[in-house]
Amino acid sequence: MNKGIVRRWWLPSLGVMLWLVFFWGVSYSPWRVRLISADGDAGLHWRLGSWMSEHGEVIRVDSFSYTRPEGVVVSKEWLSELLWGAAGRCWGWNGIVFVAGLLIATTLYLLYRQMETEGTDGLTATLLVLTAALACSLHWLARPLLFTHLLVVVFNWLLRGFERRRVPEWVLFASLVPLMGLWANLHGAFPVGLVLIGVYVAGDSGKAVQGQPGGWRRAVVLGALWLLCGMATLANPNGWRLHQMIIYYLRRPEFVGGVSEFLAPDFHAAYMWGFEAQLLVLAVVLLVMRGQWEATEILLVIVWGYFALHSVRNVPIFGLVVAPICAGHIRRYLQEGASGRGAQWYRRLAGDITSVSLASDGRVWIGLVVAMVLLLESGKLLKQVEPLPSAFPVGAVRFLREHPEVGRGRMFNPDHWGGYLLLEMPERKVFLDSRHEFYGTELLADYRRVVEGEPEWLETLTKYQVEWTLMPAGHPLNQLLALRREWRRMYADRAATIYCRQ
Amino acid sequence: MMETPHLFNLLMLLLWHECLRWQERGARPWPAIPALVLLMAAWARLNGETLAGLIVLAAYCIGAAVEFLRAGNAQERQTATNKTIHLSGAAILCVGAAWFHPDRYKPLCENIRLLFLELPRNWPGGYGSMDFQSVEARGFLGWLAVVFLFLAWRRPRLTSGAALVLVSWIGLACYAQRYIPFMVVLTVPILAAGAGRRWGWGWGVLAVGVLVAGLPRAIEPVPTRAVRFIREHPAEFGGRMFNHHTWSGYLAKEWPGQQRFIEGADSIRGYRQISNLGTNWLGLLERSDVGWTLMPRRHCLNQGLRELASWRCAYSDEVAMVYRRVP
Repeated sequence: MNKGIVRRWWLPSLGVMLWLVFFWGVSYSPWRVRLISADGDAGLHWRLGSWMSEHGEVIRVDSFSYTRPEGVVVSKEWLSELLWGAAGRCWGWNGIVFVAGLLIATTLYLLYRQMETEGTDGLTATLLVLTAALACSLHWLARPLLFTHLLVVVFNWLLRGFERRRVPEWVLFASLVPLMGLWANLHGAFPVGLVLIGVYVAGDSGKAVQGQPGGWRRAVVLGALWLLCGMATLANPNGWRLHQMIIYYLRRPEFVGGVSEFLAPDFHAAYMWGFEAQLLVLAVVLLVMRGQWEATEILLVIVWGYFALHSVRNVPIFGLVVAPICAGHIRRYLQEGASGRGAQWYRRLAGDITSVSLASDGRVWIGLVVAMVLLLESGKLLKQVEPLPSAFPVGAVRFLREHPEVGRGRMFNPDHWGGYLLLEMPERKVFLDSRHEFYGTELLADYRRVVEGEPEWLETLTKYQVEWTLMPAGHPLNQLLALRREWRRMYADRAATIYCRQ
Repeated sequence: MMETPHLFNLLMLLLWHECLRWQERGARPWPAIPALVLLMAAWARLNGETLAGLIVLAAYCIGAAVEFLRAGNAQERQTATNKTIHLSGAAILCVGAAWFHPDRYKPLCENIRLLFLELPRNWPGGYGSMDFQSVEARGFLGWLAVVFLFLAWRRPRLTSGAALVLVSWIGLACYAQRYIPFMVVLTVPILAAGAGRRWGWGWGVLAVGVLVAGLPRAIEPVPTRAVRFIREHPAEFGGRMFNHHTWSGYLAKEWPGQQRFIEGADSIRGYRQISNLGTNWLGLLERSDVGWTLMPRRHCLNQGLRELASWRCAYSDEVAMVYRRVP
């Protein structure tokens, strides 16, 4: 498509512009505060990563809580945590935001490049990237899950390329097997990669049943790839125990049911607009364009559509997988099916935009922007981002530092503040944090008894010898404690309240 | 999800949609449009949920306008123009007919208002989004898969109106679970027509299967004995009742004379503030003139009231607890 075109190295292509817009828009706009303020997970990964760097080993025994001292830890994302810890140590929260921005922008850039390489025009690819970005934005948080988004695009790109005979077998094996090993160390959602390969195996088997030549061979090759990738996931510090722990976590409703990102999507919420927009694009593709669907495409939509409706956490993955499918159908429709005036106008506009984009490159700008940010960060010239004071007990932590006599003994805290408290008050041990699978079902049940104000709430606090509580303002537990004479309010602001046992 | 008035709505919607499809096929105003107006008047008189019918009518109306824009020749353009005019006229007449409800325009406005409220999934009336992890969602998910597979494999050429009904109602069904049966009833004839009348009764059987699969499995325990106790001792329970929101439907049916704390969605914020022990929950309880509460046994409001000398537990069983204000 772009043979014989001289690319201007200094002129940014559409893909590079998308990278720049998303990197700058996410890392250096008010969104940067949202990246680190959804819950305490960013702080938790930073703290765990710092611990591993300081001790020069992967964390295996926990020392952050008093409820499970010396408990055995199976780390799902130790490599990401190391990176989080290094970024945090170098540039504080700005470092965390920088890494998250890089991952988000690169994911969307690769998605654009995938569609461009498959022959989609620049305008359609850009619009579909924007729709996918809207769907992904609900999970644009500074967490290792961003690695999963990036690797989903890479896996899907290569697998689609192999299916269309553009990627040779050896490239597939040489890239995906080591990447799967890396994925298993970066983030606990690595089974997503195995599901993706599995869908392509099933799709190619379907094609073989339909009598398409080479279908069985591709299915066998992908089956072998699936096996090798599965074996590669064992190359992690915990070996098969990591897989055991993930299965244990996903099978227990006590864990999954209590985490908002594992719940089914609520279509009343504004964060679902991106998903809805993508479903609308899919509906247009199905009802207006009416192109031929391949078995793999049908399976990908059904499998990831089901997962997205099952857990809101899978909505971004659905977005990243479905965008190239829609791009393929729109491309074929514009080339073969569309004849109206509107389609002609769109085709002309898209053609002009694509020819400009193909004549440009501009990847040097990505390097320049990264170098500039690194330079500014090293010189401490960029303003330090801080988590939202309304989302975290920023004032309460300051109060506790200034009044060390307050808050002696064991603390009771909500799970979503655990990571933040571990980072800001490393000298104090938490009741629990968001690693529910580590704390176990019994402790989690006790925790819920207290936060949901069940009849045994007071006995449970006594059972764990809790001396003080740090809870969000307006939490029912604060109202219950206010009615007890032996508890006294020591601090309150718009974010948090501290009660101490007298 | 499938209480009696809802079944009536399903029947009305089925007839309504058939009238519209009849009109679309014939492109003549007579006799489909008078039938639509009469149906709407009857629907409004017997039940307030006429919004569903108006949305379907609007979809066909917009569909006719789209067909006008896509028309390739003069004859197609003329047909689309006639359709648009007839359906627009029908829409105006039907909005007028919707006022035949004893409360005039109020049920229609209430339905629109409830549609845009942010309500939790388990809020009575099914205006919340479906919990796709529940057993009850399997039928809906299966139906979505059937619709997708049918469109991807068969690639039927649907009219713009039918396509809009399909898309809008799948969207509405995702948005509010009470619309899932409506969506199934509306999409079956569209898909059956797209299949060229193949599989005949199969579509109907499939639809009934989806509707049956959507029936609630786990029946939430209701405070039968607590209600009996309160009704047997009316003198002890003065002032307004504060009840658990999911029991509103049960209370309305079993104790029609008793005013629930939440009628429709008027006091959602106040309800949440009190039941979640929000800041100033006690003041709000006083201001709302609540004399007694009827909440699930393990609910946190009971724990709050237990700590107060001015409230006393009047009744308790494994399902519910009743607290009343001490005079």
